[in-house]
Amino acid sequence: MAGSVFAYNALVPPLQVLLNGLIAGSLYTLTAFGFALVYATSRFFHFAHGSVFAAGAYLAFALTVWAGLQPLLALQLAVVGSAVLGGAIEVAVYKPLRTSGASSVVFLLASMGVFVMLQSLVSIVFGDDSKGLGSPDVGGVLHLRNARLTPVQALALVFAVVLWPSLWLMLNRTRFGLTLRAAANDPELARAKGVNLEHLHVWVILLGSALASTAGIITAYDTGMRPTMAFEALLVAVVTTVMGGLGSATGVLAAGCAVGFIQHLGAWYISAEWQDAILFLVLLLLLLARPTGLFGRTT
Amino acid sequence: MALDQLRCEGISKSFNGVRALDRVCLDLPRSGITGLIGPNGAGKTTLLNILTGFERPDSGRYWLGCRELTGMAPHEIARLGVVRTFQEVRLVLEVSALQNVLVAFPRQRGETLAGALLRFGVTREETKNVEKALALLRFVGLEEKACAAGGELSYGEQKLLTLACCLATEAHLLLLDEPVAGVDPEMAHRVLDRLQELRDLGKRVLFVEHNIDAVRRTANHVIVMHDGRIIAEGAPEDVLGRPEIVEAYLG
Amino acid sequence: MEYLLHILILMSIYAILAVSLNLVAGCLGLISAAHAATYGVGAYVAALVGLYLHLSFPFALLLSCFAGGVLSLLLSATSMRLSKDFFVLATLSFRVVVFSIFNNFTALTGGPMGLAAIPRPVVLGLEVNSKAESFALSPWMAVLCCGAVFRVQASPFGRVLTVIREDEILAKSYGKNAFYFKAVAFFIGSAMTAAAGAIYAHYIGYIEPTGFSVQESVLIIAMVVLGGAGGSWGPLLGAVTLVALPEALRFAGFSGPGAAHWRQFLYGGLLVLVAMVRPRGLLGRHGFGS
Repeated sequence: MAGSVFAYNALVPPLQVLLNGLIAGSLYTLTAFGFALVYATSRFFHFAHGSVFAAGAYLAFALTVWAGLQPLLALQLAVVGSAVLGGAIEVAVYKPLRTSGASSVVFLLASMGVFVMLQSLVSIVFGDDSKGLGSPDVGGVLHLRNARLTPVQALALVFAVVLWPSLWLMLNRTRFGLTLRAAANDPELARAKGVNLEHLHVWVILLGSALASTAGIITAYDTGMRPTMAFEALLVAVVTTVMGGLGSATGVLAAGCAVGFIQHLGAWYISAEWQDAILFLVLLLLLLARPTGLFGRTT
Repeated sequence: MALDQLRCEGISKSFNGVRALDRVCLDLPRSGITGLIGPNGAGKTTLLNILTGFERPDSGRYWLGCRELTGMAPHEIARLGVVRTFQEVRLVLEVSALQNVLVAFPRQRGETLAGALLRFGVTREETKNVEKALALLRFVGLEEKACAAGGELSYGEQKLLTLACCLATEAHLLLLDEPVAGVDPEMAHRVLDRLQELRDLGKRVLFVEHNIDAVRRTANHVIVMHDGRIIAEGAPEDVLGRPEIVEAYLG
Repeated sequence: MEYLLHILILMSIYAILAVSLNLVAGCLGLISAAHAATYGVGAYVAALVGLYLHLSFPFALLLSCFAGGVLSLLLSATSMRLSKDFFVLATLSFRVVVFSIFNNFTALTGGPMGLAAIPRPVVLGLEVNSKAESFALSPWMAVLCCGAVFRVQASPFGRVLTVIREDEILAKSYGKNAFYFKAVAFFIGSAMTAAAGAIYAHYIGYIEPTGFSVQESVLIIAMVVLGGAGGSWGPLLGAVTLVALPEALRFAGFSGPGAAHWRQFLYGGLLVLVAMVRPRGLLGRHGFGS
């Protein structure tokens, strides 16, 4: 099955690989969207975003496995809880830093500190080992030609199909979205026009955290969870945001898919272990050719 | 060493489709003070940026004497003696005025790695440079503020400090971007007097200004730009009196 | 006694790491995610030299420094002239690629299990048997490195670094070749970082990829930030403090398997605290902040 690259029919990746790429792409977009939004509106790397991703999974774990709640209820609570966590970070850490006029390096340092604190907390409370959320009791596996699709993966795809246009609509057609973009382009002007920036930042992080934690939960169902998933999610978020072009939401959507495909195609053609390295090399090459990313606008 | 002439031919530059400079040709005089005037958006700062290597022209070339400067990095052009100041005051605000001037001296032994680690002759050079720096600060009238941090000086004093730093580079052609803008009249006089002293000492100065009186008072030669082109050049009495120039400014 | 020497050696290693990071990030303002990766490269090179080439420690050290420096040149040549953000990304990619190599190139690096039984240094023909004897090496090396960095920071060279950090365009307008200064400082910083890795490898005798992970980066950053970036003695203070602190906690009964995580928690908390309350750190000469 893992044919050598020299066999002719192995040059065309099987449907499974493409499918996996798409699923990964959906999850990466979900993960990266919040990170990109925070960068667009606040201009710093929200390192702690990775922790929120993991928080979704671990909260879900705590609520289902320890508290024994119904999965549906538990998942919703987990997402809400993670969003609240994100909001708490914004209010407790970022807001005071903004008020004191700190540079983006200080924001990055504080965010890094929060990330490390949360990651170690997860390790302390839940242990370092891999865990799973179990598979939800929803029907069997779908077979498409010679590829298989689990219900969880199907859910990821459904999310993508529903969410992407919704997010696009939100950013381009709703008042919230337009306010957000205005604030991202020129905060002073937005403030002068009466936009409450403090509230905006909270909403941005609530939304981003909710999306990321959802991705975290789906990932946990699909491939399990470890405390290190926070950093992996962060890397994905960074790569996707930069690849998509800082400041462009459509870019994030496109880049998320691109990243998913690159990883899985890279794993198929070369090797699974090197997929991170491949991903970064591709990113570097892209940036050398097009410094503003796929869809970025020069600020 | 005779002062080489700075000249350019056919310099064009656009930003986002907007033409900032349109086939500018310029022969800077070999001596004296030249004023470069024009309304906002005429392309004066862009031209300065290009001549000093901070921007690349879309087309055109420029030389210092026989040496072509087109495509050279800004630090290389500065080393050739063509040094500029900036419209927005650029200084290291956290260190003293003296330190700011010291950093600008060229070819310091202590700036090589070997010099920094082994310090052969570096202390002697530093002492000499401190004396030179104090002399420069005296020249601009800031010697009392030598130990004050850059951020503690008034706006006018900061502009004088940037002039001192520019001189510290041993430049023979100083390109000053709005050296007296936003500065109170008394301070402006100080700056302009210094420029005239520099001319008497053999340095060439090109300064960009909006203040027509300053130009009239100080410059030997005036260049007028408008919409990315040079529309007039000559002695101040000739150029500044012309009606179309006045109109370009006020129209 | 043995235990105190152990602490001293650890402090020496981290002092070198903190001071070299400060040269690059604090003094020059070059944010680099490659620091822990270079540390790892130094460690692996020294380990491999000791295990397979059977060369003595000074050679391993030299080769590690060389490796660290050469890799920095690679990064400089490709990414330093581009924007600051791109450089950060390039160093991040470097990190990921290097880590992948540590983890996956099992034939060379032992993969996730790492390399073990790295020979103890042979100093002047005397084989070093106890940690007490390798003590003769590391603190002196730390002193040498710190001394060199302090000297550079206080020199005209260091002055130019500060200007480049504050306003690179201004530095260029004075005729300073910013790329040269950045590349040289980065080279020195990387060579030293790799040297620290070499000492670590030969002292501990066993290395594996997770020892050079993000956690390690954060620890080193915490040392610099706590002590105060930009100045000279700050990072040294930070290194000493953050090595001594967990040991003090251990004495207070804070040990066991969860302790490592609590330590991490502490470092993270410290970073947040410093960032929010006093960005310039304990002895910093300039704030990273406002």
